[in-house]
Amino acid sequence: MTTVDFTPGNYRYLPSVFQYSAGVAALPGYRIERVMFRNPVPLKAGFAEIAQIIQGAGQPLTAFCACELRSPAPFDDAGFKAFNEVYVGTLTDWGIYNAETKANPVARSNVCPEIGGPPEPSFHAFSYIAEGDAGAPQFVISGSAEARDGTAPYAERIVRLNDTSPGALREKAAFVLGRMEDRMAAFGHGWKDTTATQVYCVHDIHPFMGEEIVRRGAARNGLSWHFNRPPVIGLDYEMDCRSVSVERAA
Amino acid sequence: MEVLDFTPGNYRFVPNVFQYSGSVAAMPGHHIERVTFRRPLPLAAGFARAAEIIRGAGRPLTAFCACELRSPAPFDETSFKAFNDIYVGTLTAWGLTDGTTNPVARANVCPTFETPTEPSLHAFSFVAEGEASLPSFVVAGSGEGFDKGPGHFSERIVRFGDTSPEAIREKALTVLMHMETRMAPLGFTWADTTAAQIHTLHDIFPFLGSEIVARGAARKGVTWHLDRPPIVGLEVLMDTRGVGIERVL
Repeated sequence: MTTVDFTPGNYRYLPSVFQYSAGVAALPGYRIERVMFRNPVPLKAGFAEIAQIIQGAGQPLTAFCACELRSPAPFDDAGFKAFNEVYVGTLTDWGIYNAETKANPVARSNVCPEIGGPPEPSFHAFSYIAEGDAGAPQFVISGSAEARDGTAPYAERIVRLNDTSPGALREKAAFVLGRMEDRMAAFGHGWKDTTATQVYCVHDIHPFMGEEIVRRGAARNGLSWHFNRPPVIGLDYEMDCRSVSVERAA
Repeated sequence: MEVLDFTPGNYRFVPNVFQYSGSVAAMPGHHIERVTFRRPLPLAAGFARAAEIIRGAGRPLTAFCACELRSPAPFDETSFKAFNDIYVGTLTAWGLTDGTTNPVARANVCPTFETPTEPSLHAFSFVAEGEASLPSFVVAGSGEGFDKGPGHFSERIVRFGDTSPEAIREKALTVLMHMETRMAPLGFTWADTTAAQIHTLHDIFPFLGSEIVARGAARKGVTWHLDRPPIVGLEVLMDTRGVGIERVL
């Protein structure tokens, strides 16, 4: 895995699929700031608010580097198309998504709250690049669930598909933790650099939390557990992590 | 519960015991900023660094309003008092307490991973000028005991000595209630929180959805630390906050 510079945004990213990258890191002399909305904001209104915040900070819209989404339920085809028209469409308008090469540098996590979810896809948080070195690694790793890479249907790529026994969950978690580590390693970073780790799961993680998560240093500032499901039916365990020096609530 | 003004720090607080307050909130025209250290700093060094940061922000040391500590192991009542004498000593020197009324909220826990060799500062909060991202408050850590009341503290711990799943649920419910009781006098509820932390070695899954998420206590997730509460006999500890600016140094 090799990172690619996205110079207009002053960050580099780990290429993945057209919807999102696998992670981003600030280029030297820059840092990442994360903004969490006190209440999720629907996609279109959220993009407007994000643009205001980024431009208000004196940065170009290309500084948008990561977002955390909340959706009502896993998408069906029509819903996914409508969602992407707004999401990828906005990134195209902002000069971030390249429709020709289908290169998308923006890291993303998208999950579905099990209780109290939003009525439509909404922003929970986003991150952007600001000027000034933080003196510590600055990165955001995209959410990943327990599916292997590839072009085969999801069902064929999911670790222990439809099995939520303690043994299967541990295997799913170990796979996802490995994913996080591979992605961080591509930027030259590891758990020791993280300032936050999030898990999205509606099953019990306690049986393996100590041995698999805490012991490898993946919960050094605690593990933020969201009672959410990954956005594709059949996926049961998702994580993301980051190292960010400034976080705000808006 | 009453709310007192701590004017030198520009914050209000819910009084509790001499070691710590129940909760704090910024006064109008002010907001709280939280600073986390990438690695906990031993108490004296941590206080020194905190003083630099607070003064660097152009604020008096009385703006110190909350802290999150990491300790090597649960205290017994005697060693807890000894530790508090040092801790409260610093707060006295900073003009925060007279030894009786203490406005500073606190959470203290004992990590099971990268356990510190001495009590250390993991994070602290201070009151800054300007109304950035309100509401702005911090609720002190609370276990499933009652700080005030007759008898030895252990007699005031819910389901003392019982770590069955039912007992852990009951302990957690008590802790959630403590959070609510401490937020309410300041005028806040779970809907105002930006973070909630739970510190326990026990499984929270059996009641995560029905008791924590359903009441809105995990609206930004619940940050779980596999830590022990700071007193032998306590099994579950929580803290929560509504803070608009957080930094990691």
